[in-house]
Amino acid sequence: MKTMNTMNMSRTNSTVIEASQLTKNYVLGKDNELPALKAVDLSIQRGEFVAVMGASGSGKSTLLYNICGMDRMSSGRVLFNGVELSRLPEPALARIRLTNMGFIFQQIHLLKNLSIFDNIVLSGYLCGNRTRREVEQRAAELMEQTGITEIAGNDITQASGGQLQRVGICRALINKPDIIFGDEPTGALNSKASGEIMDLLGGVHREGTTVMLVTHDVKVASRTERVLFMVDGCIVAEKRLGAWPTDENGSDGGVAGVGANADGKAREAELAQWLIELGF
Amino acid sequence: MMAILFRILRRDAVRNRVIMVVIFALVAMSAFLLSSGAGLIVQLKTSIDALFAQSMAPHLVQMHAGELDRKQVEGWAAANPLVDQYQIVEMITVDGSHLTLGSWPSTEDNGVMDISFVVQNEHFDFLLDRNNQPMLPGPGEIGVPLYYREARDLALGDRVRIDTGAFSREFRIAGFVRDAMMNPSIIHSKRFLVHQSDYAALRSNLPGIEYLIEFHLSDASRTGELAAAYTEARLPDRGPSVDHRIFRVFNALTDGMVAAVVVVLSLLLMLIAVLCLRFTIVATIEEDYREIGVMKAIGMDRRDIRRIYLIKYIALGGIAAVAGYLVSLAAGPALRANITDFLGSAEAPLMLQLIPPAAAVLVGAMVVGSAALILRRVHRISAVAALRGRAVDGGLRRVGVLPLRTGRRAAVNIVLGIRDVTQRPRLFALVVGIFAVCSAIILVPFHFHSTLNDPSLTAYMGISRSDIRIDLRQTDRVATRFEEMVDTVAADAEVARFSPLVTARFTLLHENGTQESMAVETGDFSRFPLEFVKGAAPRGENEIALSVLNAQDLERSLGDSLVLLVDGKERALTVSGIYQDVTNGGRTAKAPIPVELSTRGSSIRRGLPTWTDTSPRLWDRQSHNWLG
Repeated sequence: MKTMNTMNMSRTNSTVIEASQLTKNYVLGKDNELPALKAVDLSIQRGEFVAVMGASGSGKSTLLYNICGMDRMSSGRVLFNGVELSRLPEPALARIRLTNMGFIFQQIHLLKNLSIFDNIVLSGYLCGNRTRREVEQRAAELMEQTGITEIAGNDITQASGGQLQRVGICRALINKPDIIFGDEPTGALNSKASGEIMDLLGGVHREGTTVMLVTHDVKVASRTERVLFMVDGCIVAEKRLGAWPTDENGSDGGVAGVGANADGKAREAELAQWLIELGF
Repeated sequence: MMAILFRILRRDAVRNRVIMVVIFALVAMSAFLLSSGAGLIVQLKTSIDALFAQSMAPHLVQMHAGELDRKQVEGWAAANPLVDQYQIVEMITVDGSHLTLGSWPSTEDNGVMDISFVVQNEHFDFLLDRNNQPMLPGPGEIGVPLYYREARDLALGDRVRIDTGAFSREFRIAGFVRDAMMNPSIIHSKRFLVHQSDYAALRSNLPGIEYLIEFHLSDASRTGELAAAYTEARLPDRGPSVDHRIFRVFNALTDGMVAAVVVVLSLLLMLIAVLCLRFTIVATIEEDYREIGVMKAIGMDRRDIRRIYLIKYIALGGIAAVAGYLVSLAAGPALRANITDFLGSAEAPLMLQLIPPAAAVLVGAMVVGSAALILRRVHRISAVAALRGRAVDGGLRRVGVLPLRTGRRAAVNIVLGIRDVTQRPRLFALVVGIFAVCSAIILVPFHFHSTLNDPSLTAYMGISRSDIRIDLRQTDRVATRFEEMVDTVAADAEVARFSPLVTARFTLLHENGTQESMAVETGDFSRFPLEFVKGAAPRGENEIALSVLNAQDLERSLGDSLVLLVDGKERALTVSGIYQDVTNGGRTAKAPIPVELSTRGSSIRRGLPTWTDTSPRLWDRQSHNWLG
């Protein structure tokens, strides 16, 4: 079995994810399988900001779970930083997810017996690649960047949905991952909080982190550079939007900046039109 | 990481303080009881060992009442290679009505003990003082059995008085004796220790003499052989024969039962603690299902996740076990006081220091181990399933069971409740299990108490139910006394019915030609019927009933026959019934074979005449000398 030191994975290779003929069938009973992914081919380059869209049941989340090694594919191959995930045992896959990947979910599901700060540093401690002090310093920086420093010592019940999603982003970034996966990261938020989260993810992307999101939201997808559209387990269309426009200071429009500038609104309209054409 | 785990622990303790307190109390109580029970057992064993070693308790004792040919016994013992040492201990029996202890307001007339006076033995079977040294009272002094110190509230310096009317003598209590053979209260014989000169005075004024023929073997495990050889040699045996294992059992019985109950209680409590723990952990996992799924999804090692949940049970089990042990440490001397008082303190305290904490550690380890095993179900949680919001058990609930439309008239709430039970049977089975064990803890002692108080209990002791049972002591005059007693009872208008019974020894002939001595209770068993496990009471002279153990040993069941020598002739008897019995080692038999006490021959080795009466009453001891 191939062994691997995840920290020594090459970052010079420009392809982070390379999926070929990725197939996933759910077994519902004897001789009864439901195909969720049908021989999907996908390549994500380092530094890309990708959105996956599609109707419910089209296979968006299944694609995400299979390319990150959280779920076992039925057939096909996924290379992460050149390492074939399907050949790795569960502990090695878990280690890669902890060290090289970050995750943001629709419901953040933090540990209720830990404070917000502890929820963020827990993954850093368990990763063990840096000292406690470094992990805590990183957590403090991330909390400052996301504007939740003042609730660091709070109980998770003392934070709003938007604040909790920021905590989720901090937790996802604590180990400086190669890629961030987001599964409907703004799905449970109002439009203002949703805009704030996308501003943060835009900032993360600008700093060089690859981001892949699964979303229903056109506004969210319009913030990405590349949109994939899925139907019945297949990627049927792809649209490249290019970089999100910034002002002269490099800002993306400020807080809640989704659609806040004219270019952004035009980009959102263009994407919506494309989706309508696809029957979404 | 430990800092975070401790913070998890602290927050969890605050959030779930009630359940934590309950589990803590259960574990601590269990650790306390197991630790105490283990301490009691260790103390009991070491104390009994020390007592038996210091007193040089005899390995085999044949009691005998009546004339004794010393030379015959001594000659036999000297020639027997199994015998290492032997001695014949003479005892003066004192009627309870002639004895007053301390300032106790009455004599020992109504006491249940057979009282004897002895001097200190020379070779072995020593009566020990509180320091486990052979006690040597001076003239006018007496060593009183420890039993009486509690029973009669005696203290050193109190007086013991014998007064027969014609003779009286007073002694000063110089100490309380530990008697390896007769220490326990359930043994109805007690030995008082006096100086040789006082003994001589008593000997010349009191008529009752009994003997203990004692043997010390070179190999203590061969007492059975020696007892058989003794019986074979037809040596004096008017009285029971007892070996050292029985002394040990009797010494260990009272405190041993307490220790056993304590240990059983502790195990039951531990079981409840583990069941509660399981319930709590399963509920926690169910509650945190999605959190666990997310932790797995983001790459946390499943062992790390398990550790997050296990830490509080390690802390809980550890602290509770230590607390339980500390309580047992504090309560230990009080709990063991009875043992150290009656049996002496052990000289091997190392075991006493090691085993109780080990027992507490065992409780803690069992709790943590159980929690670790239960937490293995964390491994079964699928990250994807949790993120997709599937049910905890992966959608395995049988949704088709008991649809709402069934029982159209039943209230929807009730149908939903029943559905929940049928869909998660294991969870509810656990609740039922906890309830059952709790009920057992409450009900078992209650039933134990009511069983002991039930008059029909005697039916399981081989004794038919009656209001009074009188066992006559074995003496030279037993035949005369038996007849006097029967006459008195027959003449008493208050006695509705009675049944004289005699226990006699017969020779049992095996098919292979070997013989065995067998105690058979004879008389009319139809007047006070016994409860039989199988069959019925023997009716004719050719029928016999066997105790369960005898039936098993002899491999006989209902309708089988066995051959006894009766009046020198072989008589085939058919087994008519099998009954429960705990007396005489559980090996007894009942047959209506006529036995003439006045013509007792070799076949009647031991007579225990018994009579029964339907109305409770007492006879005046003074006017009926057969009672004495």
